[in-house]
Amino acid sequence: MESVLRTELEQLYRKHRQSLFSVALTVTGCSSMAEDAVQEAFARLCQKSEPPEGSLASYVFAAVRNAAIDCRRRQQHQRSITESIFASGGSDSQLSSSSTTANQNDETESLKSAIDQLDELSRQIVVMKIFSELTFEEIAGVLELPSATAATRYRRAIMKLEEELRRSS
Amino acid sequence: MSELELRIRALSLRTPDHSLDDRVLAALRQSDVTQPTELSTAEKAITPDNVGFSPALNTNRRGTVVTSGWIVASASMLIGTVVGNSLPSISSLQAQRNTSMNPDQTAGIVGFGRRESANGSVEPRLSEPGDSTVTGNVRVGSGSVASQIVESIWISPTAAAVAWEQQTGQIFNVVNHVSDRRFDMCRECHRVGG
Repeated sequence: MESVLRTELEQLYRKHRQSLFSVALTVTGCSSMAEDAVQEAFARLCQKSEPPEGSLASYVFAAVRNAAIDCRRRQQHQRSITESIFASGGSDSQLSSSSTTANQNDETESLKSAIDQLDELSRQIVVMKIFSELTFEEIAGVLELPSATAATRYRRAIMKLEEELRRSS
Repeated sequence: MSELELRIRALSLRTPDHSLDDRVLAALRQSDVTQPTELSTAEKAITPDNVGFSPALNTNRRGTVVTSGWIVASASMLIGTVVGNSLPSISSLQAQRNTSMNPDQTAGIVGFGRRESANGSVEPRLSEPGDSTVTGNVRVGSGSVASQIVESIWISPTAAAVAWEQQTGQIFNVVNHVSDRRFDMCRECHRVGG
């Protein structure tokens, strides 16, 4: 049973590692602390013998987020750093390959910047919804919110991003 | 999904360091090794938990533990009683030994109980006003000097100061005795608030 759970955890880590790291990064603001948080969360998860009742993805995201909050509390005496959750140097998808103009690159950078400037909770919701494709119910489970609230916050975040992009363009 | 959501998805999230993968996967695999998996039926058969102890055997084992506990407790009490009883007898033995000392023997001790008077004759040293604030208050009762010393040691810490004065021939100064670590009586003195 435990080995099955660990196999599932490993698969989940491989699939969502970037999103997990990003969620931790939105909390800690520091990549090294975020890595520590992810490791700590998985170390804790390894101690579990029983799988969670609900979604495993939601459970793991919640564990990573809680570990990141713990890390941030421990390191609160340090200066606050906020690192971007995005890789530097543009995107690696068809968007960047097809659009090579400086204008489009600027738009991409504006979008990244706008997402980085969202509040912590909204960034976490955007990451979990768009990059990890979690349902609002799962996201609500991670953030300990009603799913309707999670959905509303997501919609507001998207609207805010649209507005920011319109303003910047 | 809206166009914006698609554009966001096209962005690439930051990738954690490869060391994180190693650490997480190592943690997952390490726990796989260290935590024992469920035992097979055959393994369960030889587990000590499955060995069927008879109720009588269990009772006997419990009884042995209880009995040995009582033996240890009784022995401890006995040793404590013996040691406790021996302490007063040691003190009384010392008292007897000191009491039996005659004035000539005490004179043999350097400066013990004696002081040179102004005319050069040696006289037993008694407390005088100004010599010691302790001795004047303590020096009461009758009997030989030695017996007073010994008795006073066991009576009060201030009497111990008298004993020290008589043994060493020095004057006990209450003011500066505090830092003098040579005397056990200081500790006693401070314990009683002296």
